[in-house]
Amino acid sequence: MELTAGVGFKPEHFENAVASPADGLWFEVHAENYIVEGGPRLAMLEALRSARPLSLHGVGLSLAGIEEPDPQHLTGLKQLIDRFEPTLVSEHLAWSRSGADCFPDLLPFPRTNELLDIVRRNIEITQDRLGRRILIENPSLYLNLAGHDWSETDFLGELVRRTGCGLLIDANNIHVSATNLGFDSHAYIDALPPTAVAQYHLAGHSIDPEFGASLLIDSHDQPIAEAVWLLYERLLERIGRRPTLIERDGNIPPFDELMAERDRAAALLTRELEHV
Amino acid sequence: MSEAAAFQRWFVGAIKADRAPRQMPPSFAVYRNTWLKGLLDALDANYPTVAMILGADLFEMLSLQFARKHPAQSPILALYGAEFPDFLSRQKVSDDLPYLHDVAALERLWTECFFAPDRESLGPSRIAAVTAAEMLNLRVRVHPATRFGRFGTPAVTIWHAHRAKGDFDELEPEWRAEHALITRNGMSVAVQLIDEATHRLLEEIEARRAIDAAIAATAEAAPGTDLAIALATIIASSALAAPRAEDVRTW
Repeated sequence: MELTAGVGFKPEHFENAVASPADGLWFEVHAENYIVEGGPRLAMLEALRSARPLSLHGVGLSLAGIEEPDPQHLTGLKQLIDRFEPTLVSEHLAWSRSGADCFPDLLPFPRTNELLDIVRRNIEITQDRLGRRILIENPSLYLNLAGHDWSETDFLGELVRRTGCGLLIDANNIHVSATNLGFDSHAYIDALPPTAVAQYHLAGHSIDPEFGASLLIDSHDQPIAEAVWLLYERLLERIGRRPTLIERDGNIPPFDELMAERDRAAALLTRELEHV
Repeated sequence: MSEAAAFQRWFVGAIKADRAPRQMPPSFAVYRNTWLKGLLDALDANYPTVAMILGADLFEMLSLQFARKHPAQSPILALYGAEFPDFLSRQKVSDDLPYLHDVAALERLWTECFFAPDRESLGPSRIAAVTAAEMLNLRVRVHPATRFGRFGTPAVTIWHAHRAKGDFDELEPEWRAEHALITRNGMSVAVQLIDEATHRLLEEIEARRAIDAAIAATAEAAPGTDLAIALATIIASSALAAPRAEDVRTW
């Protein structure tokens, strides 16, 4: 089955998810939620996987952390991959570990030559251990850090060139970062290396209650904004059609509401196909 | 130290500090908040009954204090918060709610049970195929998902009343120690109030890995108790693991 548009899986949607007849539908889960020894959560994922293709999206490898990826965590991820045979495996261009402490967040860094080498090393260790290519996702940013040697798009392009990794491009993250840091989202899209892009993410954001529309939060708790749909259309136009995921992690609506967004993305993907 | 290492060390200090560094813009608060929210969500998921007892505001305040002192040691948060029950017992609120630690400890056992390894259990259908003589020759193990505990307060009754969403304002449990058996059955976790003899028998099975020796030891410690009922409760709850080939005793 060719993947069209998918939905981030929520356990409360299980029955609707396995029963949905949508063409090309697939699901994505955060790998860290399933690196557990056993029990109902894994049993449910097993049943979902027998109905639909799956993507594993990591949030905790800390690829931009100065330390090498945690071998124990890589082992857990490898076991999950061996058991569930996901179509796609992805992680973030971010760090979240410092010594023994792990921060459930995606932290920023100056894109220096030193960091490029660190992230390259960490992606290589990961791909070697997992025995497969991973996709790297562009982050949502909230700070204009000093000391960058690289633009984000060139940094990502360089990682692709040096490690053979692919890219997962999140249209909402482009919009959030462009708004918060004041860059041109269209120019960002045009600077991405098209052939490396293997997946898109679409999600909702929220407006910071204190600072208003100049500070957007990548909260995944709202419907996808129209501005993000426009960026998605531009991605399809400039880069092409790729499996696309609707992410929702808070204020979870009924399954049908998520599927309405998913169907909109699937329609745009199909439209793009007819034009080709 | 490399520039990257120095930056990350500084950044971690700044997101953990009680106040943001003065030179940082207001948007830095997003990073200071997000990692804590991740830990708060994990505590909320793992201690829902404690949250009901304390109410949202007090639970959040105590969770924040806990999370600042206990950053996660793994990116996998399913089992985050092991120290939360002991942390709660040291807070002032536990003076008024002396059962709070025990309810939290019970919820912890629930979480451990939920994520424990899968293994076939020694249920009634499996046991029907085993003769009494064979049964006595089996090395018996407690199922890896089974948990049991003794609480100095009626924590099991209090936990059940909150989970049943009953009229627990009116709850006046008999003030005594209680024992719980937590087992996994298919897709759900069951919490049962058990008597002291059943709890003792479980402890003996875990230590001795043999039904006959466990029954003898329990009978000696608690003469006059009906261990047939205790054993039946344990088996009906799928609390024991189905034996594997290496579990057949050969003497």
